[in-house]
Order: sequence, then C-alpha cells, then structure tokens
Amino acid sequence: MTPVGENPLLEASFLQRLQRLQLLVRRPLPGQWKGEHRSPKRGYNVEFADFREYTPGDDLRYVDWKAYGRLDRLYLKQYVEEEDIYVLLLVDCSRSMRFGQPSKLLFALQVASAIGHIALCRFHRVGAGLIADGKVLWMRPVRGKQSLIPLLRFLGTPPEATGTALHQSAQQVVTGWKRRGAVYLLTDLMDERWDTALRTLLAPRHELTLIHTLSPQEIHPDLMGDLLLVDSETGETREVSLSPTALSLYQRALQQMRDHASALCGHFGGNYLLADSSQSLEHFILREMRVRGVLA
Amino acid sequence: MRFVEVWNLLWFVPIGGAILALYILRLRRRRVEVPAILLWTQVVQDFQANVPWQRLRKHWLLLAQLLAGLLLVFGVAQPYTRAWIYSGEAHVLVLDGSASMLATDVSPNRFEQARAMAREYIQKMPPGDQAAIVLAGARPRVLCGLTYNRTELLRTLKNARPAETGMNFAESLALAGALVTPFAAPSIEVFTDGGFPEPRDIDTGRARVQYHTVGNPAENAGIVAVDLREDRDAPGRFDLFAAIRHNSARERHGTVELWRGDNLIDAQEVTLPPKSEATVLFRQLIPAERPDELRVRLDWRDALACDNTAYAVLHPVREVKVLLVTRGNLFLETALNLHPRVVVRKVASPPTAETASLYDVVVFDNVQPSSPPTGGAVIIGELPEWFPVVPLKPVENSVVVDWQNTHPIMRYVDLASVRLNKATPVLPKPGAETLMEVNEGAVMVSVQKSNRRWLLITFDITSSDLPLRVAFPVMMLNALRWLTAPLESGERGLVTAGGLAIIPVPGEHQKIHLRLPDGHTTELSVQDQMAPFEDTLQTGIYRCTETGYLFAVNLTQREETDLTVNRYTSQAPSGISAGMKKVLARREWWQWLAGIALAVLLLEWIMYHRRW
Repeated sequence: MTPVGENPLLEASFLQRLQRLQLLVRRPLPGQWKGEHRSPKRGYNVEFADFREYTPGDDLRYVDWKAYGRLDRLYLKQYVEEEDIYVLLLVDCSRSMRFGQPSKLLFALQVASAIGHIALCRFHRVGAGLIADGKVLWMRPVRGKQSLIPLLRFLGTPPEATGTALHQSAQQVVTGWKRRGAVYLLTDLMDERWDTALRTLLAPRHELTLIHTLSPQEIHPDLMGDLLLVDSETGETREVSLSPTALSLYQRALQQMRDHASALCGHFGGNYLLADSSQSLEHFILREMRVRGVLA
Repeated sequence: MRFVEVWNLLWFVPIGGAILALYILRLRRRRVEVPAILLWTQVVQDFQANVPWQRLRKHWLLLAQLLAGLLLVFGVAQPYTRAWIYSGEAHVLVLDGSASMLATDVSPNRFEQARAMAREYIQKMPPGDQAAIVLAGARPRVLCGLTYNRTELLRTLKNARPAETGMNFAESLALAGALVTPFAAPSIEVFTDGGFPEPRDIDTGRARVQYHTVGNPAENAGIVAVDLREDRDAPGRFDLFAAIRHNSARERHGTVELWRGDNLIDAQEVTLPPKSEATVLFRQLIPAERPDELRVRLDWRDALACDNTAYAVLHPVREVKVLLVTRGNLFLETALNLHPRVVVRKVASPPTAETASLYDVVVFDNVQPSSPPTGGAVIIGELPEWFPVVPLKPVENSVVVDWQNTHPIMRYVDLASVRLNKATPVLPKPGAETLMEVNEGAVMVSVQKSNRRWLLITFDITSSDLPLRVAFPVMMLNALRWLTAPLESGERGLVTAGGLAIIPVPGEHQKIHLRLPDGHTTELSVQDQMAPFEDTLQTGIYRCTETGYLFAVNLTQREETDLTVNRYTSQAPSGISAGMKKVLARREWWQWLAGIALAVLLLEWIMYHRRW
C-alpha cells in the first residue's frame, strides 16, 4: 500500500493540460452565479430559448413587439441562462481502497483532483467529501482557480479508515449536500449495500458519475490453490480452494457487479466508468473519460 | 480369488486412515489479505472448509480417494485366480549358486554377473511368457515358481544369495525340468560358470537347455580335503590332514598355517607343481578339555577365498565305558582292552536297563539281552526276537564269502576265508545292514535306529577262526568307535558344505540354538536327542549354544576349487511338439487393479477441478 501523503496528487505540467478540458454534464443544473453551464433557468443570454406571456413587472426590453403586432398579445422572449454548477467529489477512503499497486485510493484522489481542477477552471463550485467508516469528511464548495490549493490539500490528507459503510455515507451526502449538481463518486463498491448507496445518491437527481476504481489484482486476481482469504476491512476470513474454474466464477461475479452498477447509473442518467488503478492517470483523464463522455 | 501377499491388505488401514485424517484435519492454507471478500463470498460457498466431519458427508472426492487406495492395496496384495490358459513360453532360470560363483576373476564376482544376465533375460522376455527361478547348489531350491509377474521375478533374483557349497547340477536340472513339464516348448536357461561335469542323460522333458556362461578361467589353489584322525603311534593325540589342489599351469610356493583358536601353532612350506595336489599333515595335536577350533589357512590370495581356509574341531578325548556280559571270552576281553581309552567291566549276568544306561557299549557274549538296549550294543552268538532279522537254518563249516568293506566297522578289515564252525545265518529286515556273509546268509548285521546302534554277530566267535585273525581286534575297535559315535559326522565334527549335520543333543532339550559362522543364530528342533541341520551353506565353525557342541563345515569340493569355465552347448530335446498347450496357471490381476486405481484417481482429479 502506498502512503497517499507522500505523493503529489497532480504535477504542474499535467494541470496545464487539464485547463483545456471541461466537464460534460448532460442535464441542466441550477447554479448560483453566472457560469458556463446551461442552467434550467431562463436568462438573458444571446441564445433564444422560449416565449412566455408577459406578466406585470417584466422587463419591457425583452417583449417581442413583432409578435405583439401580429397577435395583439404581449409575449416575452426568453434566453438560455448559463450558470456555474455544483460539483461534488466523493472519494471512498476505506481500507480496501488502499490496496493495489499503485494504491486505488491514490489513483482515486488524483482523478478527483483532476476533475476538481477542471471544474475550478470553468468557474464551477467544487465541494469534496471523503467517505470513511460511514461518515463524510466535508470540504465546503469553493470556486475559482485559486481554490485549487485548498482542494488539493484537502484531498491530499485522506483520513485513516477501516470500513466503508457506503450506504450510510450516501445518506449523509444526501442530507448534507442540498444542491443538485454533478456528483463524482470514486469507490471500489466493496460494500454489501453498494446498490442502496447508489440509489440514495441518484435519488435527488444529481448527475452521478461513478468511477469504479479497482486494482489489477481485483480485476484479474493472481490467486490459486488452498487459501485463507482475509477481508482487509472487517478481518473476516474465508477458506477457499481456488482453481481456474473458481477464478472464472469470480470474474463472472465481478462482471455482474459492473453491469448492475452501470445499468443503475444509466437508468438515472448517470455515468459509469471502470478505472484500473494501474493505468496512467493521463491516459485515464485525457482519453478514457473523454471517450466515455465525462470530459470534453 | 487368492492373494500372493495377503498380509499387504493390512496396508489399507494406515492408508485409509491417512486419507480420512487429511480430510478431517483442516488444510493449512496460505493466508492472503484481499481488499474485501464481497465478491469471493459468492464464489467460495462450495469451497469453504466447514466443520471437519461435515466434509465427509457425500464427499465424492473422499470416496474416490478411498476407492483408489483400496484398489492399490488390493493390487499390492497381488490377487490371482487359477485358470486354464493357453501358455506362452515357459522359462526356468537356473542360477548357479555354488561356491565357484564367488570367484572374483570378473568384477565383482561370477554370481553378480550371472544375476545381471538373468535380470536382462527377464526384462527381455516377451509378454505372456512366464518364468521360474531355481537356485542351483548342493540342494537346488525353487526361489520363485512360474509366474508372469516380472516384478516378483526381479525381486526374487535380487534377493538370491550364493552359498559356499558344491553343486548338484543334475538334480537342479531335473527340478527345473519338472517345473515346466506341462508346457509344450519350455526352455531352461542356466546361468553358470560350468564348474561341473558335462551333464549327460538328464531328463528335462521337452525343455531346451540353454547355457549362459560367466567367468574366465582363473588361477586358484584351495583345500579340497581335510580330516582329523587319531594318531596311530600316539593314542589320544590327533593328526590333521589337508589336501591342497592347485589348478594353475605355474608352480606355486606358499605356507600352510595351522591355527588353534586365535593362536598360530604350526606352519608348513608347500610347493605345488603345476596342476597338482599336495598334502600336509599336522601331527599329534593334543585335545584339551573343551572342544578346540582348528583352522588350516593358505597364506596367499587368489580368485576364490572360501577354499583357502579349512576348519576342524578337536574334541576332547573321553573314556569309552564298555560292559562285557560274558561267561568268559579271552579273545574278546583282549581285543576290547587293546585300546587305552576303553574301560571294560566284565559281568556274567545280563544287566538291568538302569545299569546298562551307565555304559557307552554293552557287549552280550552268548548272553541273551533281557530287553532292547537303549544305547550301543554288540550281541554275539544270540538272536533276540526283537532284532530286525529273520533267522535261517543253522549251518556248519561255512566260510565268509563277502563283507561290507565300505562300512566304518569293516575299515581296514580283511575277512577272506574266515571259517565258522557253527553259525545261524539271518535275513536282514529293513533297517538292518549286512556286514558279513556266508553263502547261506548274513552272519553279521548292524542296525542304526535314531541314536541307537547295534551290532549282531550270529555266531559264537570262539567257534570260528576270526579271533585268530589280525582283523578281529581292528574290527572290534572300529565297532566300538562306530557304536559310541552317534553319527560319523558327529564324532569327527566335519561336514561338507551343503551336507546334513546331525547334532547330538544329550539331555532333555526340545530346542537348541545354533550359532552360524556369520554370527547369526538359528533355532533347531530336537528329536531322539539329535538335531538335524541341513543349511550348512557357510564354511566355518558352527556352535550349539546350549551344549557347546562344535562342528566344522568345509567346502572341500574339487570341482569348486578348480575354477575352470566350461562353456557347454545348448541341448535341444528330441521330439518337441510345437504349438500351444492349455495349462493350469496363475493369472494375476494386479495390473488391472492398478489401471482401475489410476482411472479413479484421474476421475477424482477431474472432479476436483470441475468442482462437482
């Protein structure tokens, strides 16, 4: 397990390359301030959106006088509003995430940092939550490039945790984060009630992007023979006699888990990405996430 | 179904126990930490090691392993059935196990070379052929009966050991022939150095005899005869005689040493001309109070070591107590008293059985014994009813026409023209041996019955001219010697290797222990105060632990000392009937069981990996 604190999450050269990217959020999300994301609100931008009848108090500058001439009724022209969005970075910091070479947690924190940097560059509001032992360690939403340092500092000090309790953490996220926004959840889903947690997060109509972070040892386990498997989080043990047949059963179970998670995210308009922690961060951010329509 | 090694079935107990124990005990598994066992839980349900005994329930793998173990154990027990089968070839491997095969003219010795050749022969035997192994020696032995089992044959061959004995090849060949009598075209393969006379007229049935000769002609000299006799000039002292044979074309000088126990007491220089025989004589050895081991040793090294030393036992001299029951016989008294070691007591009336048992020999001179004597006895001029002879019509003025000069009593005795005034010829019954005859029948008969020896002279010696002959005292001394020695070999303590040794066992011993020259001890049963022992396969001194009796076993076989290698040609019998013949043979099933066991193990392996 690689200590996260000893690794710089993002290098300066890589940060510069990230500035050209932007988050692809499909659904309109309400923001607070002007920004670059199309808001569900109607505003006064150049891009026409809709008409609506005039009501007293509306700004007469936006009355469509040509329509009034034809129809003898007052209609107001509405334009698309572009606002910032709330971006929430959720990183699972349980002990299982510290597995892999390199560690899954390090990889997840780097990805979260990269997404946060992209969002800050686009003037979105970025909040973060580190999930551990059923609790969420919050960082309040920040905005602007100058907030990158506090964000990296926050993500660079994950708490020492044992268990996940992802569903409990999801409940806390829903109650603690009232704004609809783009939620990026980086976890290995190693929790018995992971699907409940996903449903909880998807219920407030967040645009959830699940980055399923697994180590190569989990994707293709190199285990064989008579073993005593020990759960790193609970200490629970299982005696197994592994054979090629047993490993194929494991692969099938993993694939079922991925399919289920992907279907759940898709059903609620979210995204699902499998992240192999052994791949390079640049490749994942600059290629994988763009191919899968998470970044542009 | 029968088993060759039925006790091997007991192996199932530890093997089955071990399999069960391995299932009951938990496997020692490698501990591996994984991020979470969430996904593994779905996989491992079938593979979890649960409570020990639960694993045994309906566990096909365990059943398969137990079945495989059972089959293997049955295979090791070598089950067989007897069935009429069409035989293939049958071979009898006759392995020469005589002393000459110990010759080191080839490395390591001739016997090992013969063993290697026999092993190669077995390995090259065609499938379906069966073979037997006979170890030829002084007494041939069947080491392994006819079998198809190559492993058993090779194992038997590996365990075969040569003996320091002579070779009875005719008997070995006849035994080999008898083994393959039912077969149409069997073969007898003889692995030998040919150290025996050319075999002729030996009936081997339809078997073809093939010789595989080992060894090279080698120089050797050895002791081919040894004897210990009382010195004629010094009664009570003994002379040791040894004959040394030399088979080389060169003259040889050397020293012959005489050891008494661990002490070298004498040595003689000998010169052996090419291919000759020399004798050495060590004179006037004085017996001690206890039996002494004597060792004659040649001080040179040659190809055969076991004939360079000969052994003898110098027994203590003891008095011979003779009870003479007579009304007066000067000739007889004089003849008996001639020998200084003989103590004669004369009485007139027949002794009681208790009195007679105190004497070594009882001589009844014209006195009828009241009952059959329990020890040695000479009966003169009377015909007891219990004696195993049939009396014939008495004759007068008869002449001795023949006598058994090979019998110990008749050694150095000349009875030509001995005249008998009156005599009652007899017809010996089985068990009685004629020693002296007149025209009408036997007049002197000996009987040897277990440890009892009797001599019957059917005429009154005073009514013949026998007492006037030089032969008479000689004959009487021979008689005393023969009557007092339970057996000839027992008296002198000299046995030829491979021969039968009769060990006298006075007292009430039911069993005795015999210490062999190599230090091993064997137990013998005693019957009639004698213990027969026929496994005299080693040369050296044998000692009875209980009685302290010693006897010596020597090779003393000229054919074995002469290390000539005779390459005999194969003998094909006449009138061989070709073709297969139906014979009752042993059909072994262990190969099938081993095959089934392997199949079960393969199935178990597949089951294991398929997780059935």
